[in-house]
Amino acid sequence: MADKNILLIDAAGMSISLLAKKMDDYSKTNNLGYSVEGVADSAGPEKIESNKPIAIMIAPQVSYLFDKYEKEYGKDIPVGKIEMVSYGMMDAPKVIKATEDVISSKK
Amino acid sequence: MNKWINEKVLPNVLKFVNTRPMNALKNGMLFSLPFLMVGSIFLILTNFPWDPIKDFFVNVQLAPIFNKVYNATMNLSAMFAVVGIAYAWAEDAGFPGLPSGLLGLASMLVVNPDTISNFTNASGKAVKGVSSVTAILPDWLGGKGMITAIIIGMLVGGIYSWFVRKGITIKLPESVPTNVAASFTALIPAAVILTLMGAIYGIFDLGWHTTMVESIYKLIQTPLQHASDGPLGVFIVAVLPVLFWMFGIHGTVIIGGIMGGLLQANGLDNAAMLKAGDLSVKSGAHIVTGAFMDQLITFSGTGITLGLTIYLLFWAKSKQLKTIGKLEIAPALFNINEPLLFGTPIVLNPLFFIPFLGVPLISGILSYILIATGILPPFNGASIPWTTPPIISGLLVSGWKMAIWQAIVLVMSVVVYFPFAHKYDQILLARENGETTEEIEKDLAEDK
Repeated sequence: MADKNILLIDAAGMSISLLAKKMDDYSKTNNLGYSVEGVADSAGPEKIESNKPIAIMIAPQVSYLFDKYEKEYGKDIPVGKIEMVSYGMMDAPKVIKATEDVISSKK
Repeated sequence: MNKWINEKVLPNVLKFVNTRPMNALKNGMLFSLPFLMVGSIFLILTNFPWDPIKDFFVNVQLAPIFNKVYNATMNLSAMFAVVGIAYAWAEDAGFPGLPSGLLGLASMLVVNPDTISNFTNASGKAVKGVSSVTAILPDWLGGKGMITAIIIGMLVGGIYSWFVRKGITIKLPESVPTNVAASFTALIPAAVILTLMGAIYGIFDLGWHTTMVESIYKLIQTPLQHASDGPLGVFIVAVLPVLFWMFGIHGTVIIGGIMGGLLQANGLDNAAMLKAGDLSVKSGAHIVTGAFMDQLITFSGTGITLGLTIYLLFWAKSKQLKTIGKLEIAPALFNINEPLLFGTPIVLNPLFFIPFLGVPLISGILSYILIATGILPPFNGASIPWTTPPIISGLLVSGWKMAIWQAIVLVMSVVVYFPFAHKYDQILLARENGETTEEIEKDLAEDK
């Protein structure tokens, strides 16, 4: 089975790709079964269509986008916010844990 | 004060930023970027800063070919903008964007002038019988048409989406193939929008013997460009993004999105002057362009934080700051600094407000003065990716003098951030060693 996709959203798709790569690697080495991708807001809807993510996580600097994604996709896909310091420290385990919390809280 | 901003001011600003017009503007302008960047390469090639190479391109007849590419890209930037904005609006509203984008293009052409009058022959005499010729004129589809493109793009996107949402479209029976039916969807909105544009053209033509795009350029765009090119413009690009970032919000994208059209128009004016062979502030070149923001205000990341990164990398003793230093140094070379902003953190950290606000502001004011007085050359109007590393970026958008100036600003960044970073490092180190807040405060007081 293909890995379950987690989609991360930020403004330009730059810094988010750093975190996405770390989370992806972390998941691979620990066999968590996630694939993680980070994209810009402008590419978000298209990626959601193609990736069918199990969760969408919004970067702190664009937390104002949370409402938009929650309204558009919240019914089918859990949407969460990434906490500031774990984003800054590029703390992959913490963000994955937070993503899992968002998923289980929406169930 | 903090609470008031967080609860009253920010939510309203963000609501505004997240409205459909702002989204359409921000996302729509993005579509023109590849064209501007490729066009920039050809602009730089034809006007190569080193004469032997510049002459070589002229001698082997390559210069006119390079110019052709420039003319079809940078010189038509408003055309890309109008299509992009009308497209992005419809997409944001949840409808297929292409019909809307094409309608935007047609509308832009309707309100543009299309006649070159007073045709003269080689001897300079007006040609008898031919007083005008019909054409699509690039003049008004480039930087000078930018504000009109934004207005038309939003107008078309809005009206088109309204019609589709209300279901005022031609519906064909279900037996008709979907593709055929889809092509009829745009029919009624197109008829209404283009009639409206025709009426606008007619009113301007019959009423004032001019066109909408020329009037808007004269009455709105020129004053706005003028304002964006002075102290007010410097304040907006140097201070506002940082203020947003202090509260953890991506201010660069927000301010860049709002100011993008004007800064682009400023840069394109400069590009045209470079092409004409006379680029100087004396002859009217703009100082505050997109490059001013990207290459002098937010390079190495918002807040010009390279100085802080260097401190964390070489001098920090606390574990947290050391880690951030190692995380941040590579992204910093590409002007990305989220790890630093959130990890240090600078966001919501009053200790860093002074250098974070001060360094870009000092750079903005000094750069403005240096360009205005002719010590630094103005920007050549080339658009390069904002991730282009410092020094190289300065070289591309202006020349070696700008590259050296960027280096000087980076040194300034090291100096200004140093004392603040040092103090913060001591606080974190003490905390990591298990000291209580009171002990830390006592130590710091003795330190003074």
